[in-house]
Amino acid sequence: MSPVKLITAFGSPFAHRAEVALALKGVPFELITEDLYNKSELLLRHNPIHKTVPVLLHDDRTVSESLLIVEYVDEAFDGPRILPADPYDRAMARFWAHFVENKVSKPFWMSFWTEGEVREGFVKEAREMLAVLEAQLDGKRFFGGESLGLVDIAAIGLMGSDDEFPALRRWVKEYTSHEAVKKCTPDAQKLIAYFVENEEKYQQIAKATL
Amino acid sequence: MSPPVKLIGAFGSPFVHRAEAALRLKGVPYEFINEDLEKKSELLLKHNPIHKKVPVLLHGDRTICESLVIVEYIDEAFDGPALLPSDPSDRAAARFWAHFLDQKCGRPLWISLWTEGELQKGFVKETKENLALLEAQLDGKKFFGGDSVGYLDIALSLLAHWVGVFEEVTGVSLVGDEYPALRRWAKDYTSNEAVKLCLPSREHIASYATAMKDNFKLMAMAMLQQ
Repeated sequence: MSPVKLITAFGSPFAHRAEVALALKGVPFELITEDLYNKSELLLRHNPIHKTVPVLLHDDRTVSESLLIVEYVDEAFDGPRILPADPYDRAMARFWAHFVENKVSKPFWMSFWTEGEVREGFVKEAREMLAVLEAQLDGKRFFGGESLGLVDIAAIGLMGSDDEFPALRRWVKEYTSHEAVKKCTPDAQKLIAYFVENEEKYQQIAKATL
Repeated sequence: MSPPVKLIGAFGSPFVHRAEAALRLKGVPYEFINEDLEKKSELLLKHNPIHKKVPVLLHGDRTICESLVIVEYIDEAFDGPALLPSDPSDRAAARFWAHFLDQKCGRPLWISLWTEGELQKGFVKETKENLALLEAQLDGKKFFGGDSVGYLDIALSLLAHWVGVFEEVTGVSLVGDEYPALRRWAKDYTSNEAVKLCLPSREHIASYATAMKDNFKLMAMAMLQQ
């Protein structure tokens, strides 16, 4: 049986989701780091449609899309549950993970890489969405309850520290001090240096999507 | 006894159909509550305050929104034939292609149907490339799910029924003879005993699309700006 391999890219919050899922399950894996400005044959072969990271290689199987990888890891390996057992709780986890993915991510990231009035618009939108997430935490330690779940994994990378959202701030601390997550978090200094180095690229990407 | 099941929907919606097809295939009795999407009800806004969309499934005191989330819930909460495959890798693949339709195919498909000229040609090309990928996924099988209708067939049902009607209304040909597997699949899907019961008629879809033609064109133009 060949080992599990994860094609990733430094600083990618999407790849991070897949790493955390594997770490939670205690699955040993090999990390293959991609240069997204110079994509490898391996990546293009295994994810020809989207050409993005992360991509999970498990024996002869390939799984792409970060949240699908998380569900796959939950179903294919033993270990603590990432999605709850109850069908309704699972539906809620999926709903909120999609909410984070589709409604929160874009305005959040765009608010960093745009300027002026456009930025103000994204900041406002991100705040409204974060307020909804804040309400969802509702006194729980994690979105998943007592333990890390799908929604927690989906939401990481989105939070800065914002005084408006005390529950989210507390959640960030809980999340980043979790054993499994600590194994995966890239060194903060390295990450900041990476974003600074590539700031112009991100700003261009942001402009192109407007 | 299981608590009652109600589905808030809008007659004719392919997303609502996904939920209904899942309920029918599982043999779950339900009450259909038809929504006027131009004048959304208190009930809908209460149960789906975030997206304000149909379908919404009410199962006892539980509320589930989003068509694909509803389909997975129905598969997990009720007995009956499995809609998703049992193998984790096959499940991931089914979910992947369902997302592919919603996130990658939707926009170029709509623009292909409801715009004209040079720009439209590029989107037709893109749509045909997407269709070719789906054609390849059928790979000799009767349904995307294998021998019987499953999650991915339900997710792709827009292609089996609605697109054909839109092609007639607009005169744009998309799912042509170069997709024999998809065309055969569309016939098999729409003639399935359980699915038939919740498919809106072609006449209904055609008259709705004709009435909404100008709106649909505006929507397509707006998508072009995105």
